[in-house]
Amino acid sequence: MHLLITSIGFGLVQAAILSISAMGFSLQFGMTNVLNLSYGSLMTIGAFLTLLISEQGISIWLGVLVGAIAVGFITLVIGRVIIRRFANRGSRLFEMAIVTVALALIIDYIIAAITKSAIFQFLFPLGSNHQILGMTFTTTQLDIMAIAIVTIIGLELVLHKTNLGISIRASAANGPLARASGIPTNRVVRLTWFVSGVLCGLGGALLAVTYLSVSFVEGTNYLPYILAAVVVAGIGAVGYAALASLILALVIEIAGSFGAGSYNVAIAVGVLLLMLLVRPRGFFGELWEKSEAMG
Amino acid sequence: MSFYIATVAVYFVVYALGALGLNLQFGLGGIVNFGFIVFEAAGAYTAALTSVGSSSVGAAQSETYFWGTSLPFPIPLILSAVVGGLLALVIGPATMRKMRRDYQAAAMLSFALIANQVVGNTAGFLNGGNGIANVPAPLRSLGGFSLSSYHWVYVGWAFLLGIVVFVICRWISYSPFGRTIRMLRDDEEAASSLGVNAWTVRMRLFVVGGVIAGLTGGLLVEFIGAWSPGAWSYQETFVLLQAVILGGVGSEFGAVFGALVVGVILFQLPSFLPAIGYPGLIDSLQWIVIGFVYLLVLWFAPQGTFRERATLKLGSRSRRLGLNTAARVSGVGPSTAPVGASDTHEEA
Repeated sequence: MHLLITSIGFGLVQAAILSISAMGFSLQFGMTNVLNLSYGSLMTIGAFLTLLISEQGISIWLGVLVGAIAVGFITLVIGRVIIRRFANRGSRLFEMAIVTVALALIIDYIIAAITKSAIFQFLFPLGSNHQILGMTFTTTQLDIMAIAIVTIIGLELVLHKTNLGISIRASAANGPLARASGIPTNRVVRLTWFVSGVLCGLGGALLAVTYLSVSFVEGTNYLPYILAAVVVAGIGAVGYAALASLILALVIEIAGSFGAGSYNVAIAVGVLLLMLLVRPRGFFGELWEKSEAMG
Repeated sequence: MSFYIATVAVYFVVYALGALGLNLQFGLGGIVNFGFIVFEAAGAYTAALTSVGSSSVGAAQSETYFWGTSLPFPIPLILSAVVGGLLALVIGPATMRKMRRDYQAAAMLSFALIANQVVGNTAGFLNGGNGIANVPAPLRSLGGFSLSSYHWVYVGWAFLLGIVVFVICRWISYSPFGRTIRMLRDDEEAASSLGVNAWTVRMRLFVVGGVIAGLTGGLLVEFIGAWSPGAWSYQETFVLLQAVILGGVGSEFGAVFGALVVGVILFQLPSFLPAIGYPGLIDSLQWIVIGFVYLLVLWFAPQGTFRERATLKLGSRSRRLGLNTAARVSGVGPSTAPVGASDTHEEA
């Protein structure tokens, strides 16, 4: 029983990171219709920037912030300069998938070349332990969960309660119609690239803060979890991506506590493949029928 | 030096076979298999386990794997092909559904990432991250060759196998089955309306690709004698895919040409150059180059250097003979879709 509660606790921390990353991915995918397989590599950039800044003796949270915003700008540049050009050129969906994998290879191995493929350890105090409902959390873990909750609620409020959010969702659902209705879709797409990039960098940074180590494959190895959560929720179902992340993370951690240990990644891909077999458009996807990439 | 050349020659065959298998799946069938290397890995592990002997005896004492035996020469290789096919049979159904091709790509990429992590993290299964070493050289004891001549015997064997697979791929490509699969790739609705069962046809092709992948893995591991997760990380698939795309999607000669350019010139030769920087820098730089080559090829020549010739050739011959091109090309009866226009067809 104690083991179960402990694993639920760790599952919640995992869910916090996964939901931030998956919401960013879902937002980006829903808007641009590009399945960005370099998303994991961009997370790695966020993680390394966090490491770099925390090593200067400044607050690690400043590192997280800088990492997130920097990845936001990098994503914006990649999305608008590279991906959009390929999309405008009429690259087909699988060609776009190859383009994003190429970007992933380039980013991953530039990081590998700079870091000599080493695994870096963080020296960062995790804070005191806190008992909540029988679960033990460090201060850092509580902070991470707080960041996730604020992000989820904030993003949901923006997407569903503001004019900006309505513009984003309208552009995602039907770009030409949104443009005809006077929504500056170009600006909205730019903003989406940036915001999804910030979420991506934030996810990567928090991943590093949780595991206290980072290497150049960190983000790419994390990508299957994100894909599983996003596919289960359905394309562009941003809020549901957070919910799917919560369920997925809990399932993985609880299964792990019953001896599935190193197979937990296999569970994630099992969920993904099963989902594709049973219901490839996800449970809550609205945007399945879209076919052209907007970049 | 002779050994290096022999090694490069074997790698060339291995890359060419991989590219041919992937070209069947991707070039002919349009199946975006970003996890192709896992099927090769399955074949390699099979060949290793069935020739290295039990894990508690002999040279492999320090290694732990779940099962092992020692079978005479061609059997491990045959088994590796069988296992590659079986894995395709198991994985296939999840990706054969009618789905967006980037979804298919993402699913297979996840599969590759996960399989590698699971095998690497599980100590007792396939000896975790250290993998299996000391795989015996299969033809050596059989013919009693000296070490230096043995490498060239293996090169000959590899080329023989490579030519057989090439001929088979070519035959599949030009057979009615090959024309059906092309039609399915280019216009699924038209093919279905002619009674083609898309699922069965794609599954068959996927399994054939899996068999070739398994065989390739077996061929490689019997030469290099060791296999570990580091040898089959997800990005290895993209060397093969680049060979296919660079050579020309759907062309067997193109796949071999691509394997020569990407596999041998880009990937194997630099390891014989004098080292620059720290050890491992060249590896990273190679992957960066691979990434940029992808962007350049997809930007400037998405059709590759060797364009798919099948439909054009058949078309001209049919015209000379005054036949209905579309009917000839589809291989399944009269067609309304001009398959000759396949290369420009945009998918939904």
